[in-house]
Amino acid sequence: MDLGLQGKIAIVTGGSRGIGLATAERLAGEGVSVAVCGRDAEALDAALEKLKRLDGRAVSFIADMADAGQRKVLVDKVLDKHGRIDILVNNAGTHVRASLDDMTEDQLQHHLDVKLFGYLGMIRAVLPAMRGQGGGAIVNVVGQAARHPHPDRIPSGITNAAVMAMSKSVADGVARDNIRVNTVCPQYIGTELVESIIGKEMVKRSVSREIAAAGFTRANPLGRLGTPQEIADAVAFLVSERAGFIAGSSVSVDGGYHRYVFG
Amino acid sequence: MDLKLKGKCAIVTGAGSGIGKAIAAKLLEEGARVMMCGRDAAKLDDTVAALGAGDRVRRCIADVGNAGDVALLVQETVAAFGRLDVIVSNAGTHLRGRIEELPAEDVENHFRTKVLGPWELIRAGAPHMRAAGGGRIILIIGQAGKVPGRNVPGSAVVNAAQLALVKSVSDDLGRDGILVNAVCPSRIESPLSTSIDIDEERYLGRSLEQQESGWGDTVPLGRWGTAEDIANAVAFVASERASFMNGANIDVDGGHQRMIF
Repeated sequence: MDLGLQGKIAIVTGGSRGIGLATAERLAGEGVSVAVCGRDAEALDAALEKLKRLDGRAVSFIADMADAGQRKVLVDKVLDKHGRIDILVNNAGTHVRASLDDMTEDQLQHHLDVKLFGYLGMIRAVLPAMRGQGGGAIVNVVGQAARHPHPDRIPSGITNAAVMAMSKSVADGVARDNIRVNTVCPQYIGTELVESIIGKEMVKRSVSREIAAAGFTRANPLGRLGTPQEIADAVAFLVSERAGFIAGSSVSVDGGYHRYVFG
Repeated sequence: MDLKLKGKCAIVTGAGSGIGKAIAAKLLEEGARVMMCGRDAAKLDDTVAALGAGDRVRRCIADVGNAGDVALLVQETVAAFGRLDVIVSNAGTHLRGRIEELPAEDVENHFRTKVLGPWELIRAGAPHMRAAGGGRIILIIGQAGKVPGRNVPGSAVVNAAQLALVKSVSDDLGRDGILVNAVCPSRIESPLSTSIDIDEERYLGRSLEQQESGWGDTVPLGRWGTAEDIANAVAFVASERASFMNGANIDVDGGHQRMIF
């Protein structure tokens, strides 16, 4: 299937590892020139080296998505280099596990700053360019803590639900400008993040890695973790011309983890 | 993006026209072999001829509301192609009318085609998919299931049942590598939407032109979609590129439905 992505310009936030890097690689493989950003210079250098093999025009920028000034600089630099932005993949952010008792308000505030304000701020920053060029495609990556709130994941539950509401509202607001906003909702993907959570579970419950990991691999009917590439494929489809009538939609890529009939 | 559908074998029900025809055409374009199913032999023959895909396409006259027909459909597919990898359940129409205008019998027939049809199709097809190490089952489910209304109680209850079927069966068959998902269209130009408009013209006195000029107003994207928009989503979900997608549903509706999740 020709996705019609050849020659497009994309920004992928949190693009130095995991889902972000896999998405950047998939897009580059489809002929997209990708700009990735992240906070870890070493990881970002390694990511850029991989991307350069697929797309000679790939670039990377050190930027913290919680910082409005850095978001603006990132968008300006990409516009300076390419003159347009066709695709934005909002992916920067992590998963924060904390209960009501051990969560701090600073922790929740930081999570909101990175993911809710970070995603929203990036959308606002790229909108003038997308409107000016007659359209664009945006995907927000939002973990299933939004659909499945849990007492030990309060920061992620609150933040992700807010990002889902933001995505649908924004999607409605910009659809008439031919800008499509959708969300991809992963759960339990084999990334460093999930590995670190498994590591914490091992310590917390004093169990082997196998037992700690089973809680994740048995969480869906497929009985395994997903791969970052499986999320990247869904993102690539949604930002493509082949998904031209998909807007304001949320697509679960979770092996069947979530329990909703309508989601 | 290589969907790796080359050589895969698919059944598409309701394939004679509209969305079903577009899905069959897209799967053929990606190199799959397709068994087209419908009730109208003449219409189906015309469609098969128009697709011009040689021996990669076959047709089977069957009413999916009839369990015997469904069993034969699967038998004929496996006999023709030697395997079954993908089922796209698309047969069925949209049931309009307020509750006092809709006898239960009409709703029952609708349920038979759109819920019990795929039910039997899954029962007959899953053993072949399991034997092949996995497969894909995709139900096309109109958005009345998520967006009920006074003039669509028949479709609303039947489509909601389809969504519940997808989620329940995905939990079960996912363990065998058979992924079950839904693609949910709304606001798609097709013979069905035209027939609804003719209905409105007759009863509400609004001309086709008046209605079509207002189509975009109800959709955030400001326009209606095409059958090909649905076919693209189906081809993606049917492919190896969607190998971690299970029990999900994708809205292809220009932003029409209002749920966040």
